[in-house]
Order: sequence, then C-alpha cells, then structure tokens
Amino acid sequence: MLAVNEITTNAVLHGGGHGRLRLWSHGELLWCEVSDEGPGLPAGWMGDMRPPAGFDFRGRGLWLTSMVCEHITIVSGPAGTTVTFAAVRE
Amino acid sequence: MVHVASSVLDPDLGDHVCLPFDGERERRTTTGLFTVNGLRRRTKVVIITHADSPERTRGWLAPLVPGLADAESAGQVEILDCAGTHFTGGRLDLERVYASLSDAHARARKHGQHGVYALIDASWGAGATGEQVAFEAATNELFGERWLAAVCQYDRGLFARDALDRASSVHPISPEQALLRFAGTSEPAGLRVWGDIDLTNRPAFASLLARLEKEPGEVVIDASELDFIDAGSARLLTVTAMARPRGATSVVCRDSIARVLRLIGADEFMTVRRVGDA
Repeated sequence: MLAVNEITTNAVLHGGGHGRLRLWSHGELLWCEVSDEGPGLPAGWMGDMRPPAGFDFRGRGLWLTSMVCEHITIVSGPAGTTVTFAAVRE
Repeated sequence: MVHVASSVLDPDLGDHVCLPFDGERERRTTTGLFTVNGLRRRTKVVIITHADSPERTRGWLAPLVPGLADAESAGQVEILDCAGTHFTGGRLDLERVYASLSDAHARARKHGQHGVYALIDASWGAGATGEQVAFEAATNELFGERWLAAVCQYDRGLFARDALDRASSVHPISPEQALLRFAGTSEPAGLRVWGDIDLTNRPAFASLLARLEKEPGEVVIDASELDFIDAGSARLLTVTAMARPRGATSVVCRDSIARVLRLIGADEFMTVRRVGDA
C-alpha cells in the first residue's frame, strides 16, 4: 500500500499529473507497475536509493519502495518513467 | 462498505466535509437529502445560505423535505443567512462562526437534539480562495469535540479547479480523497485519528497538528484505528514532534504505521507504541 501510494504520488506530482497503474498477482507476490509520460527521473536519482542518514525531509518514495518491496525495476527517460515492484501478499 | 458519495450526505457528528457540485439541481437535491438525514438523526439542521436568501431556499427546499415548515417551527431546522453567521461589518469573522455554531449547539441540547448538522453554501468565499482555505483549516478544531457535522457545498462553476483542490484538501473528508476522522483528547492532551491520511488530505491533518505543537505537557496521538498514513504525512507528524520538547510526544499505532515511522527515522523524535504493546 505504502509503495503504491509513494510511486503513484511521484507520477502525479513529477510525472505530468497522471499515470497508469497495473496490478497483478503471481504466486505469492503482488506486482504493481506505475508508468507516466513525464520528463523522467532527475539526474542523480540513483543516489536517492542510498539509505538516508537520520530523519530526512525530502521525498524518498523510491527508497521507501525499495525498503518494503521484494523487487523494484525502474526505467526512466525523457518520454516517461515506469516503476515495477512487487511485495509478498499478506 | 457504504459508498462515499452517499455517506457524505449522512455524515457522522465530527465530520467536516467538502462537497463539490455541478449545477442547481444537484445543490438542491443534496440539500434536501442532507436535511432529511439530519432530521432522522435527531440533530439540529442548520442551513447557512449565501447564493440564495433563506426565503428563497425555503421555497425550493419545502417540496424536497416533508414537514419542513413544522420542523422549522419546532426548531429542528434553521435556515440562516451567512451574513449573520460568518461576517461582521462585511469581514469574515472566525469568532462569530464559532459563536453561531456553539449557540446552535446550546439550542440543540436544550431541545434534546444530538448535535448540529450544518450545511454551508461555500460560495461566500468565491474570489477569496486564500482566506477561505485558511478559514476552513482553522475551523477543523471545532469538530474535535464531535457535536458538529458540516458539509460545505462548493460550486464547480464558481471555483477554479486549483482553488477547489486547495479547499477540499484542507477538509478531512471529501469525495475522491483520503477520509480522515478525528477527536480531540485530554489528559493527556492529544488527538485520536482514524481512517486514512495521504497527500489528498494532508493539509487537513496539518491543521490538526498545528494546534498540538504548542501544547505544554505530554501529547499522545492515538492512531490505533488509523488504516494508512503516507510517508509525507508521517514526516509532517515528525516535524511537529521535533518542534516540541524531547520525549513529550508519543504515537500509538498499528504495525504497518509503526513501520513507516521507523523507516523515515521518526522514532528518534517521538515514542512509537504499537497497539497491543504493554
């Protein structure tokens, strides 16, 4: 739930205001894919995947998602971004 | 699960709802339904008008609410002009609104009614978005005692999209956004919250937290019935705790919420107690 919220919020706030959400289950995992046609992740976004030191104020949706999910695949470019992630179904 | 669209017209006491609408027919229908629901709940229904005068409102409302005239005579329904409840000398007056609604509550109690069901024509604020949004945020504290339900009707024809978004996000409840309910608590001071908090109603949550920031002594946020909080709203909660004396803020919550708080490093600034912990 948290990961879906964080990634879709990113799509709305930074990815052009709207996006597409796909949900499916496979085995014990629930998969989610969020894609937008925004300008792509900013340069240096991979640095955002490092754990923050102490309390941080900036949005860290991708990092949070990587902490709560089993898999995360990010494809991003100037024509859009797609984030695919999965978590064990509770 | 009750569909949100109908339940916003049948709110619980303590709910503060932003309800956008399209056109006169929808406005009148919702006014009628709201009034019928308020009467059924034995609350005092207060209809605060702006676009239409109270007399004109009565004219189109009567066919929609069986027994309206009798209900008005018996004090079960009051139709008031917002000029008398919201404004003093033409200026928006928050204290006057508090007094008007509190007086309505006193009259309700005298008549053996369970609280106040208020429906407000929000067109009074069209063209003064900033002031109206700040006002709506400030009034959230009234709802913590849970004797008042208010539905604010926002005409989509009058309010630009971004003005409407700002107004709705400062309401804890609005269609198509996360739904938050809350109650003020005392001894220790704090807040009980239930429902969901995310970007869509985060400004409403912020207005509730703002009041707790300066609270002397211990503050407890009882989120044991909170289903979801997003990271940004959890950060907001942490910032409030950071502004308070060390060790003076605690949160009671479920495992899923505790996990979010731990992930963002909030547990350094507040005590996080899981529901079920000793």
